[in-house]
Amino acid sequence: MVTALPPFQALLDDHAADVMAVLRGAVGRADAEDCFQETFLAALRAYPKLDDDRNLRGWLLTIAHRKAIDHHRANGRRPLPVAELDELTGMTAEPELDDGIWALVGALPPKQRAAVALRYACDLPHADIAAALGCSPDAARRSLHEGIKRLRKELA
Amino acid sequence: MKASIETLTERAAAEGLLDVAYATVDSPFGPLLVANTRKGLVKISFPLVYDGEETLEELASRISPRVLEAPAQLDDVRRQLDLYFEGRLHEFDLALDWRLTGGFRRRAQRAISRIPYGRTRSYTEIARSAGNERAVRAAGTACGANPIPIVVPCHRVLRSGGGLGGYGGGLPMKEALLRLEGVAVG
Repeated sequence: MVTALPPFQALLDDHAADVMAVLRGAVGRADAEDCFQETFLAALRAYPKLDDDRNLRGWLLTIAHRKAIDHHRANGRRPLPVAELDELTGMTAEPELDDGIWALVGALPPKQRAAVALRYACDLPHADIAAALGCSPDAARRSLHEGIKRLRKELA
Repeated sequence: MKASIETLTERAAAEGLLDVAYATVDSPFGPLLVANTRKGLVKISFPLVYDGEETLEELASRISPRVLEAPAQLDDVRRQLDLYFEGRLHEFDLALDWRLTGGFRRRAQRAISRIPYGRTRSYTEIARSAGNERAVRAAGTACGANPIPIVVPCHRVLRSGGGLGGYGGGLPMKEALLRLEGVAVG
């Protein structure tokens, strides 16, 4: 499929603020800047070969999500500052999502982990999560559901 | 946010991930969109009566989608254009990237780039320099398709009888540039 990718600057103009907000939520204000740079440099590296430009926001947020996970891995998986996430993005997490839960999220199988993070940290709708994970919306919904079920069990 | 994006742009340039850098430069005729590749100046759009977005999309599809606003990469271009519009610079000293043009058009545009400051040539002379004296019409098209106007001075190409001919930025701009260079017009 030959698609004309928009100038990368348009992605920055449209989505940089969202990526930064998500990263501040995921890794905290102090480390968000580094992750932001890593996210966009990785995106720039891959961009010319991207063959599907239908969901550039989802694509960027998925990279941001991976960079946040890398960051936590490098830092021994300390809990994510969820309170800050809500404050900064105005995004609503599930009421029972609390400090420490992101450590449990990090321990989920990859698809469930990504689905949960994209839904609650990046605030993506199911269709966008599906696009980001490269699966059908139904499969995305299932991964999300399984992930949430597992978290509930662990928290009970 | 602005500082983060500036840092990103610098790092992208340092890591070879910035294929097309652009900026807007003020001119007496309105803002110009100017763009560089690693090889040199590749594009000057006429004042943004034309859609700047369209120019950026063209650069993205024809060169690389790694297009970023990076004014620092165009400092030299901006400085020379400023001096030119003040009448204090007669010859641009800039590396040019000709990749947006080819064939007869490129030959014609290279011929245009050699017309000295304050001098004019006819479309016929340009056609001859490009290797086909009879391709006068194509020489006119090459002027119109010049990707780097002002620096490649297609405003210095006139009709054989001395008529102004055409100009992508509008005839008043062509006239003003010729006057700036001391050419008697009209």
